[in-house]
Amino acid sequence: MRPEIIFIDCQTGVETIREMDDAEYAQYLIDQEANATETE
Amino acid sequence: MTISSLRGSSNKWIEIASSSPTSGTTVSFTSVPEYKDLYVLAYGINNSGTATQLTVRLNNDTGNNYSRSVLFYFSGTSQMQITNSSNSSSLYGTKEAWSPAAFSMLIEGSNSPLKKITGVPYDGYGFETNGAWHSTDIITRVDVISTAAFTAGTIKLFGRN
Repeated sequence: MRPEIIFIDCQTGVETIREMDDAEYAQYLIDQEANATETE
Repeated sequence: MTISSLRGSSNKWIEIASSSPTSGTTVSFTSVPEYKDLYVLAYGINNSGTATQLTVRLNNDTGNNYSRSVLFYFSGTSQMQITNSSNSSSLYGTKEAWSPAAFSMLIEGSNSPLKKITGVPYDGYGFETNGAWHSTDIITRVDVISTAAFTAGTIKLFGRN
């Protein structure tokens, strides 16, 4: 199960939650690695 | 804790949106209306990991278009570090070895060619950030990204003209 993103539309106030798509999940993994490296 | 508006030295801050996430690793404020300045306030943040690390990304820009200098505090020691000038995909709000975490981030000139960003942790531990987002685009999306799934806390987005 992939991590979720919570979207809040600032115009309507509507909040939606969904799992990351392929591109978002790929970026998530990049971020995780970058953060781990930078804060070692 | 209820915060609906903040008063600056000149213009009043207007709350644009708020979220109290108990799941997910990213809170994404989309369709952000145009304001001169934006202000992100997060408090009581906790997550499912052993530490709380929060970063902010603008307009979902994952390129190397951010610069920052960082003051950080750990275990009673202070250090200064200039990191990844123009070589980062996001900006630190705070990094915490203890939770819950709180931080604020002021984004000045969100509708101008220069976006100056100042991030401050509230409880004495974490990253104090000064930086910029190198883009001429008006900010329409603000993502607050956690290293692990949120379990508690509130994130608010304010704007002022």
